[in-house]
Amino acid sequence: MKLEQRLWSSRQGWTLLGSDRPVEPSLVLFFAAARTLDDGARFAELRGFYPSASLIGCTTGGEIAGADVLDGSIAATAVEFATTRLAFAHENVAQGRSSLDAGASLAASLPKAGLRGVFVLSDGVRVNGSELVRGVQRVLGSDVALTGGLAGDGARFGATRVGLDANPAPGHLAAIGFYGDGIRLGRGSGGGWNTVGPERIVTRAEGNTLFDLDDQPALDLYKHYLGPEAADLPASALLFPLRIHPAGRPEAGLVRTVIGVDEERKAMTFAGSIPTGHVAQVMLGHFDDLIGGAGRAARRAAIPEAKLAILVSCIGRKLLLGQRTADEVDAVAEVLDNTCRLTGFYSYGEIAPSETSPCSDLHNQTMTITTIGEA
Amino acid sequence: MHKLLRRQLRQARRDPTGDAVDLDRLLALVDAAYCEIDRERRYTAHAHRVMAEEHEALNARLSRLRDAISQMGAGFAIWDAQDRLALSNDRLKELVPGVAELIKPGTGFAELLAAEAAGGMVDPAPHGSAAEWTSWRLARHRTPAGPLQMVYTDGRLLQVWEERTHEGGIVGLYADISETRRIEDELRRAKETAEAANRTKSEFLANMSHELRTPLNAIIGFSEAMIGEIKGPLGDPKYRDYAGDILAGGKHLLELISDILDMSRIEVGRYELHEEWIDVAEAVDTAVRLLRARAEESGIRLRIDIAPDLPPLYAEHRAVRQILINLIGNAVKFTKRDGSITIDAALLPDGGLRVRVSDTGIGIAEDHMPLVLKPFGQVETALSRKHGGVGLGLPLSKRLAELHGGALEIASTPGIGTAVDIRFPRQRVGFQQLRAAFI
Repeated sequence: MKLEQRLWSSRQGWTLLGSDRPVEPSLVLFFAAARTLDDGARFAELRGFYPSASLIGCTTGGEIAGADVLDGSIAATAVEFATTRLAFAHENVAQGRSSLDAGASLAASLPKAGLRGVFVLSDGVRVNGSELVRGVQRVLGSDVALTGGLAGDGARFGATRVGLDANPAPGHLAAIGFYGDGIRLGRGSGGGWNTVGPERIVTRAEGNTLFDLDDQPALDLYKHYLGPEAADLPASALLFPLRIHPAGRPEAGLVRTVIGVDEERKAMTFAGSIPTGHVAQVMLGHFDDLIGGAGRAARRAAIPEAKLAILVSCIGRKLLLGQRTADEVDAVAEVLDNTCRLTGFYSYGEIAPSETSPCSDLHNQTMTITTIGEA
Repeated sequence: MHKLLRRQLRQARRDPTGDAVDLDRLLALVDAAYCEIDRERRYTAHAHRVMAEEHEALNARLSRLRDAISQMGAGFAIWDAQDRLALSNDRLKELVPGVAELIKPGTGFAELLAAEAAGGMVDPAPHGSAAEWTSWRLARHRTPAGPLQMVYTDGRLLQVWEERTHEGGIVGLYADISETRRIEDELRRAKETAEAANRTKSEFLANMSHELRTPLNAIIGFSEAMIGEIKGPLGDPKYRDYAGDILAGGKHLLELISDILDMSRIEVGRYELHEEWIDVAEAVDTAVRLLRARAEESGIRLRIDIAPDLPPLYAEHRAVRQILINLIGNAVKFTKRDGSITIDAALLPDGGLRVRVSDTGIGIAEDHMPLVLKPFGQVETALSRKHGGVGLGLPLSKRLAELHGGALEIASTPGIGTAVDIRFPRQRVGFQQLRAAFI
């Protein structure tokens, strides 16, 4: 397995970060700040570097290249496998197509025989990530090794874009299927947020829109928690993720992040479903705990054969950590020593098994790592 | 050097390979970091204030719940998913004094059961041995299926309500229902005693009525013979009047005894209906004939309003006649001079048949209504002193109607009048076209 990593920045254009001199890479992963893709020129250049590879990428809330966290750049990694075969799939949610159907259709495009793992990238605003995961699992089974992430758009929550062999566009989904006996995949996820305050019951919600907690508007509760930060909604709501779990089953908890607010309806949109009747609790993050969570994710994902680690971390973490964001990537790098190259992005949702369950689900506010290697 | 500063220096390099630093860029990065730290401090501090408020609110809710649980009249317990006591109140300790020291967080339910069984506190009898009782109790605890009762050897009876909680534990409510059970038993015994007494009374009356009738037949028979002067003249005409009074009194007594006998038979379930197809108009005529003289004496108008094509009724002739005599007799008794009584009969929309006796009499006050339908009810009121009679007419009529599957209903306004309806069900009403064949 041979890698080549390139970085584009407005100051320096494309630079080569490192190369094992692959001859004919079959896969190029690229994670790009939204505005860098506006004119299509960068995508054309990338295609020029790797004319025969499949190019799969998305827009981000920040790019990860090596141990650096960047904004306004493009992080590209070309991969040449020794024995592993790949299949690609592409879908969109145009014409009112449901996220569930899109996920199922995406999965159905991947041949089932010999499938060892799936990595998914999806629009992060127009797609309900939980439904997408359900759709994929409906076709491939709930125990399919599924990881991935939802595209980002800085901290703006505007348009997020995904592309497969095309300049990324809104409303798209793309997936890579890994095949063959040689492929080795590792998966790990970690949060580090702490639940605080009382448990509340989701008394009114529809899909991924939350209205009431304990019969009180959830937005009012968030404003109370945010205090002066409320002026920066919805971005500042990322400081307080919501942990939800079915009543009596705290171990089945998921973390949900706010991606939009509707002042008029006193509603909040989350990056995944919020089922009515679930127990909800606000979470609070501290620098050290979040960085510790990233380290835990790396230890779970670590496999001896790993050559590449794709880091999908939540925009909420970056917003809180600020310039310390690189510390969490450092924490990952410390675990996955120098033989493993890092790439990745800050997302609007992470897809991976949770810290407590082997089945993949949509997460928010986590660091999620997919490690790839060959025997 | 701090990790962050080292990173900032790297990011502020003038070119990727050299060491020269762009000072403005470095300062901007350092400044931004300070602002970030300030913001994190502000956000955390504010969140901690909110959490403190919420903590206080939670504590208030918790202490209210604790207070409520401790003040409950019943024992309360929450068992966790491992079936260990998580929360309980003092009342629970009072309910199981023998094992009160085990009522504390952490005690396993099975441990508590074993202590109760070993201490001989529970009577296992309904479930067999102590071991059988223990396994029954444990099974019902782990798979709750409605309330259960535990008998203690000190005579107390405990009612237990247990339900599963979402977390996989059990919530239980435990109440001493010995007193409730004692009162229930007392009430049941009292009811049984009363019912037995009533049966005895009815049987006594049935026998007595029979015994009374024999001498009455002699009184009636011989007074009739005397009035007819069968064995020769009585002499002074006054004797004939006296004989007439003896006959009237005897007949009244016989009617009364018949009523009592009927009532007693009905009450002990020994009244058998002898049914046939009867003509309602004819039954009304018979009853009115018997009472017309008395009504006219009191200056009361009697009006009969029966549809000519009324179908026949399948009923006991004697019972229907007795009902009519009772109702019309009551109407005459309670209607003043110049008043009127109307007897009408008609088919009901549901196919049943209704006979109504309405008067312009004194009426019945609402609070007297239940009384007039109770056997001997009139005895307890001032009515009897003024109007005579023992008050058997209405209750007996009601029972007779009910024996026919029908009903008796009273509508009355004091000072305006009373209307009594006898309803017979549809099944007892003959087809009109068959009328001729039966009558």
